[in-house]
Amino acid sequence: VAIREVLLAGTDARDLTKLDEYRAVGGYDALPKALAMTPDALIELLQAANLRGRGGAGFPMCRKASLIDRRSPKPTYLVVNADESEPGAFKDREVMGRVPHRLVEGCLIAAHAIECKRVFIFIRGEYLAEYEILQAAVDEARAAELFGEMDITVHRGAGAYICGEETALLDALEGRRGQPRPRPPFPPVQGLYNAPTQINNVSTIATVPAILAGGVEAFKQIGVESSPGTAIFSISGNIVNPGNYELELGTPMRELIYDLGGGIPDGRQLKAVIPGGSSVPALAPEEIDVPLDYDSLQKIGTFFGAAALIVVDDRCCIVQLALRSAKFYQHESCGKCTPCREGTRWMVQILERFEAGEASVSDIELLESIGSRILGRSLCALGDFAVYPTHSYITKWRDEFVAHVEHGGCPYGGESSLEGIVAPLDQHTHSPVAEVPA
Amino acid sequence: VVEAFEHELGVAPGETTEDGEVTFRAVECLGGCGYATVVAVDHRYRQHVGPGDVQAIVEELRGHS
Repeated sequence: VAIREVLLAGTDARDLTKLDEYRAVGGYDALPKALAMTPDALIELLQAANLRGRGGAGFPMCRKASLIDRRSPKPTYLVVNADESEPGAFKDREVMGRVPHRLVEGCLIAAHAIECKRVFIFIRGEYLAEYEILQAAVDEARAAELFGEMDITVHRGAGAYICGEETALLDALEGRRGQPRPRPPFPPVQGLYNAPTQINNVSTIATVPAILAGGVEAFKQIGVESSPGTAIFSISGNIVNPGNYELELGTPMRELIYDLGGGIPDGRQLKAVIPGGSSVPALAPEEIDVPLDYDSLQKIGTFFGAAALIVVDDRCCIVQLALRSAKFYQHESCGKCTPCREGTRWMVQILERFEAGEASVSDIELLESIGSRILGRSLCALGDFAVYPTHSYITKWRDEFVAHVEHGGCPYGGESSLEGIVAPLDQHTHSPVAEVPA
Repeated sequence: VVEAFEHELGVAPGETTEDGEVTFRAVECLGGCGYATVVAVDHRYRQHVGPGDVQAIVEELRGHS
């Protein structure tokens, strides 16, 4: 299996945080090409490239652009979601930290397609070093008069998972508490400051220059027909070589885990893979030959998500794994919608009963039943994100739940790899970093 | 790593050392799943921290303060 770099191309040989270096590898050559096109022609070209959103949902980027009402008397906005918060995901951090100019160039191109003069990049507060690098790149590009009539504002979030949800992000950007908005109206109709707004992930926007530079046909040669291009896959957990790997879409998961990732450490056995970040259904070892692209993963009942693979070995108690992620989503639920706010709490309480040896077999059905009444019943999918993995654990590792009942508690007897990692969540606080130190 | 800091600083997560110089907190995600364990020292992140690195981090921090 081979690394195929589009997003990170050139970063090994040069310091692409610098404008001159980025220009030396053809950087900002795509921009004048795009600016010479009409917005409609640019949207058509990007549509032909079939670039799908790298943030999680895989929604075609250009459908978002084509929904923007450019005849609106209001300004149009491009918002880049750099609030990378999905447990297991750290790909956008790599883009912003190593090749920020590719994101900046992508912003300028994507903004031209929707006749936008003002771009906002919403970066999570914890990414301090990446913020400094990105802000420096923005300043450098502006000073080099690459912006024309456009401008880019980098805005730091204050640290909440919910702000990665696009409408909560808009509220946070407007200075309000980050909570999701009802849809419709969708952001392309009524987004930031109630104006037409396109919201895309960092990796999506940073892929745009390559499409202009090399042409649509060359871009479509990469990846698979239904999902052209590359993605940076973050792999972590019980793996020999954790880290980021940029690969063509459609690369078999097994190759990432065993060839590049080096397999499972210390001769242990693979137990589960959570393929898209902690919010998606987990896969069992016999399912890992799946190609890593949107449609293939969806076909086997899970999601591409944020291209973040969490590898779990056989030391891990599945109930603890479910509890750990349910607690996270309970903690991060913004509280606006009852099914998510209350449901995630109930899920945690039931899972704790299993660990404490106080559950009965009927609690498995209760857990599923509560989950089914969280799914799709809130303004955003945060509650669903607690349910998807939990339901997959119950479906694929039901015997472990039953064993907790029969054993009167955790059958791992304190030896699970998550033992003790479950509890300290209660004392976790968000990073206090809000200000940029002098 | 947490235990090593507890040992080195003499305080538990959520507490401040008696001299008021160092506060030790357990924090949520710093975006480094691939580079665990991540420790934030005065806003700057150290990656791949093992228990054996803790003493040097604390000495450096003490030196600064």
